[in-house]
Amino acid sequence: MYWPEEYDVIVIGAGHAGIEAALASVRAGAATALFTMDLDAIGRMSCNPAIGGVAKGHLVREVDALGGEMGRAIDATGIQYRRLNTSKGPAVMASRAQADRAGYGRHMKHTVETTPGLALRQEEIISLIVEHGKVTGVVGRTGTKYRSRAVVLAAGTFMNGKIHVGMQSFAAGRAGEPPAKLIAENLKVLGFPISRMKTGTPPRLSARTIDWDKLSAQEGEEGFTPFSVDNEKIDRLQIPCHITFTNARTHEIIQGSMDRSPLYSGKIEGIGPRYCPSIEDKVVRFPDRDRHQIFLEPEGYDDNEIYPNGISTSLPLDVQREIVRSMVGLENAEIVRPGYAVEYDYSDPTDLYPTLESKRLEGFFMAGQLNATSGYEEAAAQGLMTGINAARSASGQEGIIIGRHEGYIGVMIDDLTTKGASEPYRMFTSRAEHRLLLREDNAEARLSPLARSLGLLTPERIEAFEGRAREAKALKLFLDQTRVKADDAAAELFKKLGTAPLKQTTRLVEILRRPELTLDAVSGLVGGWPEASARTRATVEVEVKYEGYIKRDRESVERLARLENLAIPKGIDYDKVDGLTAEVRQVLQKGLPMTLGQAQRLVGMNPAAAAVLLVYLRRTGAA
Amino acid sequence: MLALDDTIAAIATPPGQGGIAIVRVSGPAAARVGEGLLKSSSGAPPTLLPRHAVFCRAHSADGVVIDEVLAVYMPAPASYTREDVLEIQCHGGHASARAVLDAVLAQGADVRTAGPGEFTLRAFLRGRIDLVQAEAVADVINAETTGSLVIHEALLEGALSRTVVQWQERLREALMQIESYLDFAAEDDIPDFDTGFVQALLDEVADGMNDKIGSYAWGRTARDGLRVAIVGAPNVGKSSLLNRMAEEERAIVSATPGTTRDTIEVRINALGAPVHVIDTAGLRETVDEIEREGVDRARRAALGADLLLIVFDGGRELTSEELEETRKLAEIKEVLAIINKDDLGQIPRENLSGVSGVDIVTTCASEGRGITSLLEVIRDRAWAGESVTGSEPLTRLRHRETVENALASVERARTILGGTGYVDAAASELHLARGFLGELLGDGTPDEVLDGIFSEFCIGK
Repeated sequence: MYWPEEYDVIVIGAGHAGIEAALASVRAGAATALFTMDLDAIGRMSCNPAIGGVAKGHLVREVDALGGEMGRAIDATGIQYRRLNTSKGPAVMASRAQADRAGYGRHMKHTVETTPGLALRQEEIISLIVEHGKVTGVVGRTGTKYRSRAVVLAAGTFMNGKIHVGMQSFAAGRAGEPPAKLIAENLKVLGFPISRMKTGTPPRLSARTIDWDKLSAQEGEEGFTPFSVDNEKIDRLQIPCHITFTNARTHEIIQGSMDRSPLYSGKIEGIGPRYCPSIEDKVVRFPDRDRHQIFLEPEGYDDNEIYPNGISTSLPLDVQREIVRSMVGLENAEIVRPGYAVEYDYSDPTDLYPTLESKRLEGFFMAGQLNATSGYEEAAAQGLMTGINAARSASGQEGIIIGRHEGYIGVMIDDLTTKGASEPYRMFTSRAEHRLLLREDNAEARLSPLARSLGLLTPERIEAFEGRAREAKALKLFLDQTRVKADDAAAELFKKLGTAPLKQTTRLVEILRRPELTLDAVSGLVGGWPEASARTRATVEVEVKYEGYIKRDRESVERLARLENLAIPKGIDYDKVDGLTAEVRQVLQKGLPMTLGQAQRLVGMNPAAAAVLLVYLRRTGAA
Repeated sequence: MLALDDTIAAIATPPGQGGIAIVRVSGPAAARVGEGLLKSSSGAPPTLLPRHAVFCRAHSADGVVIDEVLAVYMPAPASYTREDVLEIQCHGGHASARAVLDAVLAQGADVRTAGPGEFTLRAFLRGRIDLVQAEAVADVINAETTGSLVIHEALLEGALSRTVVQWQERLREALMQIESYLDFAAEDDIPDFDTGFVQALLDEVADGMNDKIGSYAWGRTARDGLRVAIVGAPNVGKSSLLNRMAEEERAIVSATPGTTRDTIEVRINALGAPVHVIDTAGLRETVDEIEREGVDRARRAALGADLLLIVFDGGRELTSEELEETRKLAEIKEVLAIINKDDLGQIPRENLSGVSGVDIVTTCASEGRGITSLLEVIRDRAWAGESVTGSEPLTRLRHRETVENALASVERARTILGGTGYVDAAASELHLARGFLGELLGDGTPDEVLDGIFSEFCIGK
């Protein structure tokens, strides 16, 4: 039976990817339905109760700049906020916050429930409806068929999920939640390139049973710049995390239990994330480390559960208890939920266009862990892009691709779709060629013009964005045009600032370039400053101080742009391109790159093959 | 020129008459060209066993036998270009090679004449050699002396490339540390950033780069030759000296002072070192307009030279003007004093000892005495006292400039890491340095630069 309403876009899964997909789809003007197996699990944080981190914080701000929800949600529900890497440089400074796990889920549920034009439904989707190589809808467990022009799948670790605790294993998406088996089977039947990955989570501890007095605390920060540009400041009570360490005894326990580890006994076949390893992985791979730092993170203001960040494990529960109790402060700690590893199906992301649309099934998009990524932020960013592109696909418009020089979103999706992933993909700043262009502080300036042109921003946001842009322009102009005389008064001020006196009248912008000076420090030199928010001041300061680097990066982007963006016509017949080896031809036929830049990055390409392709494109008039 | 999908052909041996000439064909149609053009004694196309010399006959497009040839077929990738290559050895002489080439070109619209250096360009584009090696191919061909040859052979074999790759590797190791520091916060439980380790890596790279940049001062001699100007008063034997060094009568020698009016430049082989010797008009005040222009040219040549040979007549007393002139020149140029006509013995060596830093060689140009010693001094100056084998200097300005750019970035990164400034900027500098080194080897080198480099080549290489 077909459901009476037809949709433009159907989103399957209401985790971090699915939520952003559904909301972005609605914002882009599509009639959208969001399906979840459990309405009470919307926006659930399956693992760490935290949002952000280095590169991940950048993604959150990009999602926010494109109108997404993640930044607003964590601003509204955080219990501790911190800025990381402040001493390492503006490109890698990043925001991270602990969340009130339950509050975060409630915020997301409330948001999707109250978004006009979004239909929310609890129903397991078991298969896709495919007609003439195009997806035209989905089938629910109730037997109901739903028609739509495009479908986004964001099933997380639920695809054929299997949980391991010691040598025991059982089918589950998350602990206590059933897996999505039928849709996984359906994808296999449709020929998707499915393999297995694994991830894991630590046991949760009872706060009441921890000896807090023995542990050092890490407090949050006041004056934190909110993730979302919609918020000027965060006005929430912040509570501390605590720190303990593993020790020789802990490592001994782990070493002695390897025969009961599903990871090391060969029971788990999926490949896990190298950068977020289990504690047994860490002990094996870094035998000379005598201890590992463990953060004890509260899961909410009034939540008794503690997330011990750093001891993700799939060892048997009795070993987990021993590990936990070997650490200072945790001698009597009770485990309230076991740690576990989860294996799940993912689909090779090189099977997707950089719009995240499937190359084998028109109108079908995939986002999140299903594409071999790890992390809420990575999932949300992909979800947002699939929402935009599914909506555009439904109305017959071209997909949107963010360039590698425009955002980490672009870097991530390009990496995934050209190179694939051999382990769960985590965002790093070092993955970007032009890191100094992709800062947290300029996410809005980089991406909001695009978001506005796509209709993803509210009128209020657009007005505020324009205001901030004007503010930045005025501040730059002021720095550029204001001169400071080398008089006695200035000499006195410069002495106070601990910097060399001026030799001649100097523009403010030149003074600010001195490494030891900040915008705040020079603010006393002259009067008449234009008004500017902390956000604007931060961006302008970086852009002045890093002007040389930023200019060089921009020039490099422009120099490469012509080849990078050179379009390869759809339906190009690589057999007709002489001078390519059979292997390279196969790589191109499978990769279906849309531009020469993408072609160059495909695994198996080489510079000679790229040169051949370029000449062919020029000869055939494509370029 | 960057096309790679067609087949190129050219006569690879120099024009003119010779024992044999070679026509070289490279590209996907190489085997087909062979089958279309060559016939064995039975009249059928010969079996071109890979890397075997096969005796057969080449036919023109209208079926006429052109020549008896040896054909060698080298299928990809084990060939000069990494493409299918066919080399046809025919009789030397213009007509035969030209006829074979015409017959090759008649084998299809996808076969065309190769541009200068295009075979080597393909070897580069197909990744068999890097850009430094490709340049060395041209320099080996152009080498006029054994010293140049030895140095450029080493470059061709990959000596400099390996050093550059090693720098890249050291920078990569440093960047791994730095990137890990930048990308992980305290929560990530990553070991501390080892600045000492990173600084040591960067010190090593910077030292190596400084050495290489320094080596250009003499390494460029291998390509460009050392410029040596012979100057001095009229009739002291400058032209005789030139003729002796060149081992031929290049300059007119006469007893009349002022015989040499224009500068004469001769390329000589100074015991393995390439040297340009420039003979100049004798320096004197003169009313003769032509001679005065010659004297001006002599002064310009002196200023443009790497080394000045100031020649004195051993049969005359040293004048105070000569001594003053020598002193002046020695202040701005490297100077070697030559006391010619040594048998006349009027100038004791001590007379010149007042000019500091000037070495003295005694010669008798007319009888050839002392010339070998002079050439030894010049050769040692050309190689700056370094051994030609194993020291692998930079020989091209492009190399020096690129290494200088890379070094500047490494130095800025060291400054940042050693003091104030943000580490993300240091990382940016080190990525930039790696980029420069990549360009040196030809990664991402702009087309214009490539065109410039390969246009130096002869056709057929």
